[in-house]
Amino acid sequence: MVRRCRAGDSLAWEEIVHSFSRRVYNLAYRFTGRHEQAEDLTQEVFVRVYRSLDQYDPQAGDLANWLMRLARNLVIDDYRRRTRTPADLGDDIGQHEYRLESHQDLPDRGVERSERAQQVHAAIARLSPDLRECVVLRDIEELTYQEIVDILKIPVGTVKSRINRGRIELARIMRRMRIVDGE
Amino acid sequence: MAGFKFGWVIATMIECVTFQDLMTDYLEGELDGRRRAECAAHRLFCRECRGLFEDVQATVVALRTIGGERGLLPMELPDRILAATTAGEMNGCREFDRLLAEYFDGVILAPTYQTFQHHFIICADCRRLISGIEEAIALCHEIREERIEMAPSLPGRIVEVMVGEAGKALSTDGLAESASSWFDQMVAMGDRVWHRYLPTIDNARVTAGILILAASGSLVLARFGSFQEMANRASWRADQIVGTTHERLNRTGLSAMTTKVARGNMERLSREMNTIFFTGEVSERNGPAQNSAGKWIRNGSNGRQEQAGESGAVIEETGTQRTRAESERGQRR
Repeated sequence: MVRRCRAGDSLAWEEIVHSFSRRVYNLAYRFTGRHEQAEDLTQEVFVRVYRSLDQYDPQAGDLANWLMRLARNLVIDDYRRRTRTPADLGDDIGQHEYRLESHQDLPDRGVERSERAQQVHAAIARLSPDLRECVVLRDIEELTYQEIVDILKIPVGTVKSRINRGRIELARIMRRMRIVDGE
Repeated sequence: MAGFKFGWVIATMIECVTFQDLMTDYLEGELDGRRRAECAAHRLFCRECRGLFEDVQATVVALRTIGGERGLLPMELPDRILAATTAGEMNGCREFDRLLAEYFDGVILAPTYQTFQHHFIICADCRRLISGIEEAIALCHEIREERIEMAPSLPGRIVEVMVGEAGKALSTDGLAESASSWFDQMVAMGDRVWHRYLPTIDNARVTAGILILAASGSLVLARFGSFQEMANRASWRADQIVGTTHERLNRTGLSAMTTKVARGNMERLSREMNTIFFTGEVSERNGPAQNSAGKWIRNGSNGRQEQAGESGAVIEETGTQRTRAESERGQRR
């Protein structure tokens, strides 16, 4: 497929975009917490991917791994840039509590699941940047510790520590937001 | 026995901080047997840490759930990505080259124009190319505004090539240059006349036009005696050449020669007219006959020419005239 793209086959590129745009968009949304920013970031990722197609080596791994690795690096870079401006961090928790209450009786399981996902994203947005990136990469992207080390360029002990602290912090946030039901 | 176990648990119980530090490893089964037992004991006896551990478990499940789901995707996002990459770049650079002229002429369709605009946002090469072309066009416009001076002798040389010696005879520097100079003189003269006699109206060009007409009339009268005479001579020469052409065609019968002969004769007619007009001379070879009063003879309207002389012989006949002449000869016989 990449070979066809390189040869100028726009249909092959279209197939790649349709295959991976959802994954990239969701990754971007988990770090930005805002749809508009996630869309812009996704587009930016694909532009970079398209320009880097010549660098893809099929023997080094399949296209999905290569593309998502590139996407993660770009999203993390963007996230680290944006965390310098606190105003860019996620939505307000109170807003999501209101959404939780207003939709809690909806019969549609799909809508309920979607609402819950929104709330989890809102909770993630409350994490500090260091903890957030480790938790997202580990528990949502389900990367190994070593893959996270490669992306974040930090020691594996630091990665483990941040994941642990991030999970505990997130659990407390989600309890406050009544997303998880304790005793 | 039970008391012993309880005592062991109390004796080996870890603090909350330690339990929370080990929580992830405990959750993921990464701890060795002893540490796992310590964590399990703490979880059992510490209500707060047990609640936290259960929240963390639920949180991880929630995170993995949203990670495993297909997730959200705005419907228009893939198209937007394609517009920014495929349409905007892959096809854009090639399409751009193909539609470059149309783009600058402003005749491309609106969607294509939009595609190009998107493409320029992300493609630095094409941005540079566009700005380079725009600069080149602007330079061309500047150059077009500049006036390049022509060699003063050029009009004369052109006229000389076109009208030959006759035109040259009118002026040594060429007809056009002379005419221009003459016109300027006429304008200057008109200006003087106008300001002298009609000072309230400033229109030297009208006066110059009147003077030019008067000068032209004087030239014709000096050369031919009257305008009618000039017209007679020109008409006679035209009739003669047309008659000659018909004669040649009748003689050869080659229709393919028609165009060539006609063109040659028209060129000849043109030269003759120039000669008549500018010099007043008529070719001796085919000069028109004159009657006793010295006037040129033009025979009717049928294009037939006769030379008025003592013999009265018909020297050129064409078409129906020849048939009529033969009929008259037969009657005489």
